[in-house]
Amino acid sequence: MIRQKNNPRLLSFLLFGSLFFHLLSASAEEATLATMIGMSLEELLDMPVITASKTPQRLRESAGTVRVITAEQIRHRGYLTLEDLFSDLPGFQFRNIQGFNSYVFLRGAPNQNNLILLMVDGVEINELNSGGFYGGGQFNLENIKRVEVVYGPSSTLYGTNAMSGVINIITRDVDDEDAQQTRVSVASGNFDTQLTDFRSAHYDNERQFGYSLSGRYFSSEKADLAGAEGDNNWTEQMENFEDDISLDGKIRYVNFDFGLVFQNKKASRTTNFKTIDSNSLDRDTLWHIRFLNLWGKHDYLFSDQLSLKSKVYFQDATVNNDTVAFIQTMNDNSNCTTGPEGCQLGFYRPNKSWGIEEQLNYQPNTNLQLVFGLVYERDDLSSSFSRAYSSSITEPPPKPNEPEHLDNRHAGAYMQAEYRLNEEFIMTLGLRRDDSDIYGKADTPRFVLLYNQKALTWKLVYSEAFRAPRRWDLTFGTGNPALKPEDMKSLETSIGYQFNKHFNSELALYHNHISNKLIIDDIANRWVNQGGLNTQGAEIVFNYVTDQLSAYLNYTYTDSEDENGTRTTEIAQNTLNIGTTLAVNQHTRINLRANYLGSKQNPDVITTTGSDIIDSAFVFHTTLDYDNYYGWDFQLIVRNLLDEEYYHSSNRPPDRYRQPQRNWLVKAAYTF
Amino acid sequence: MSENDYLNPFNFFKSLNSWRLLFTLLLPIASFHVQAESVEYRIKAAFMEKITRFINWSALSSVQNDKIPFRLCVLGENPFGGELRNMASISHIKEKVTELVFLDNVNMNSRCDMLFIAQSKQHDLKSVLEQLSASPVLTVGDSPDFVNQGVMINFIYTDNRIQLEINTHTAQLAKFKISSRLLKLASTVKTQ
Repeated sequence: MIRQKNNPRLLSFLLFGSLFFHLLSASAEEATLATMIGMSLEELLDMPVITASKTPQRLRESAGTVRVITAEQIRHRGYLTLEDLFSDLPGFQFRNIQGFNSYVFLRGAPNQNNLILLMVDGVEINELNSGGFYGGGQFNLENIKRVEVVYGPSSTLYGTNAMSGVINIITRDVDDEDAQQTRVSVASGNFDTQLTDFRSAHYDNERQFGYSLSGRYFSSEKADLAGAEGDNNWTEQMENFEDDISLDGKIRYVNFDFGLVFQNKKASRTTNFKTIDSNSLDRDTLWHIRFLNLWGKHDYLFSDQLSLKSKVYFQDATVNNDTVAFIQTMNDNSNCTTGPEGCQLGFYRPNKSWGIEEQLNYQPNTNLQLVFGLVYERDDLSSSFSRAYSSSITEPPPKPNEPEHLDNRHAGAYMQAEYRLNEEFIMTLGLRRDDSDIYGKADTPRFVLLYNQKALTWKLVYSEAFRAPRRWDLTFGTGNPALKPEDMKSLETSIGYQFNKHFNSELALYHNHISNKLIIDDIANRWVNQGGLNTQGAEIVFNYVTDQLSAYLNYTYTDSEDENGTRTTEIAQNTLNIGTTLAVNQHTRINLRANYLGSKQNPDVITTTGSDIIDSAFVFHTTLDYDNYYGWDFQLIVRNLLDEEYYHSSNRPPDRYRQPQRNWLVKAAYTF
Repeated sequence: MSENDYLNPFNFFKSLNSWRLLFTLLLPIASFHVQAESVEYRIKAAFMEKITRFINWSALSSVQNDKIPFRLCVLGENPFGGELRNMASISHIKEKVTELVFLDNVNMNSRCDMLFIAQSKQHDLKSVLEQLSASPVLTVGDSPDFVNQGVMINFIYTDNRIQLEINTHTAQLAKFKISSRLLKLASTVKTQ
């Protein structure tokens, strides 16, 4: 049973507090104007007159369903991690193991974060061996300008992994008006959570030179999972930390841009296993992964009709050689090679990749826009983890040796044509071919028909996508060199309507079919292409925005089953998100939001409950901002306000994953 | 929840406490009667402040005298409501106190550093601009074709956005220097 801890006093406080803020809110106008004055010229030019949300405009213009989270929303809703940020959007579900990673499912397809392509400023962040990105606290949210989430397959422009969707994190540019300042913040909360971040930028208009630098330190023990609080999976001494350092920077000179994203993530691996009644230790493990992305971009304008965008990029995604993946408390001949008293197991996995992309944009007339692109990538990947063992549970393992390296090459070519048939209709056709020395060729077409008339937008999208097997998958276990890409075919239609200046709504309906699924055959001990997944669903979104108040409600219905009609585990049929932000006066804002997570089936029976159902839950969060006090901004973030006991599903030895109890954070920021 | 609840997940909503909190959440939405001032003119007010950062007034202008407030004039019916007054109260244009003046007509004694010409004066535009000819007054408007008639900065509404039109010819006659960045962002730049 879900524990009900709703506190009547707290509810009454919120009720009357809400009324009080409502009565005070009449003086909130200056705050909005002040916010606008703080914006860059570009942002003012991009600001819709009808609504403060950019979404409806993008909905009208984009060839697919795109939802946007702005810097202002990130700040006022008190998001701390990437998963927080997605949690209020329709279609997202999660398997957060509260450990070294967490997993994001979009539109009913469970995965290891490898069905979503994650980019920072258009440069892929997904890890090289698995193709999945890492969730957690290492993303520097302070420097984000906006996050664009493209729903549905997008392999036609982006290639592999762009199946359930593409997420592009867009950071502040060096010449953004609101970036021309230095901002430093510190925060502290329960579960030993500490956060420090900064950002600074400067642009010299005369020299056409500018730079920006931003960073974050995030450290947390996340939740109380010891003993009974964590389903008795771990002891009272269990350790579960995450320590992240990240930096991102940009340099611009005339029309050359260079960028850097560095993330150093250290986390406990405790929650990956059960430790009670097992041979593993729930302390002293360390998962240490490091990401370095470097890129350079250049835009060349031949004429008003013709331009060339060039991009070179480099990625290093390395599991460091101080990683302690597992501590075994006795030698059962499965892992430890020496010592009767158990061992520590060290991992090392260096991976590098570089690539180049050229994109030609040609607009022969006002009705036709053409995009042609060429991509070439080369990977230098580890064939597997290099391992090293110590001879006791207290002795760290020696540094593992350099693993065998594998060289992969990949090329892709794509084109997209957008043709305006008349004032109302726009048709988009796209096609991409990828050619890899791992999986051979993959073709992905896309067709979009878009109708715009005044306040109404209707879209019809057919698209295909693929997830390529990684080099590692071919050699896993007994090996399978014949692995093919997993394919997705998708049909989607959506309708959006702007009822008046303040209120808009959108309904999206989709059907996705995944075939040739990549799964591990436990008996043959190798990856195989087997089975499929059918998902269909509906997402309905309401947005209400005025100068003082913004509110949203979105509901998602997801029906996901395999080719035999068996319901997909880990996916809830019903989810609902609702929230509101109120500008009380020129200094104060309050946000209250809630996520309803419907019940869902767990892959295995949960020992504690004797059932394989993960119960539904209603989780509330609130954020209170007090800004512009002599350069200081203050914030109180309370997550899981009512201390709801709720769980996520598990595909690992722990039956299910308890999510954090009520947690709070106090933040102070100073702008120079 | 029992296993049957899996088939009816919204049973959870029957919990009274959750309803109370949901009510709290919805209260501001349900009870909020907004007498919304036009967002359009709030954006334009922000633009009025913003563009001054990218424009240099001539050496002869009173803008160069730190002791004299920056004088922002509105000619004709004020479409901004209270937005310009709010802007003037929270902004220091050219790092000076901003003085807001509403005019029915313009003459040599008006002493404006920046003049917003409202739509209600579009029929008098030619004579207004003749009176100001080459004086260091930044003229701004938001009416169709104003930029072609000689107004230096004009706001137009296109595709649900406010865009900028700039007449560099008349600006140069009045010795204004407009930043290349501002010119780059303009949808129209009229040079003659």
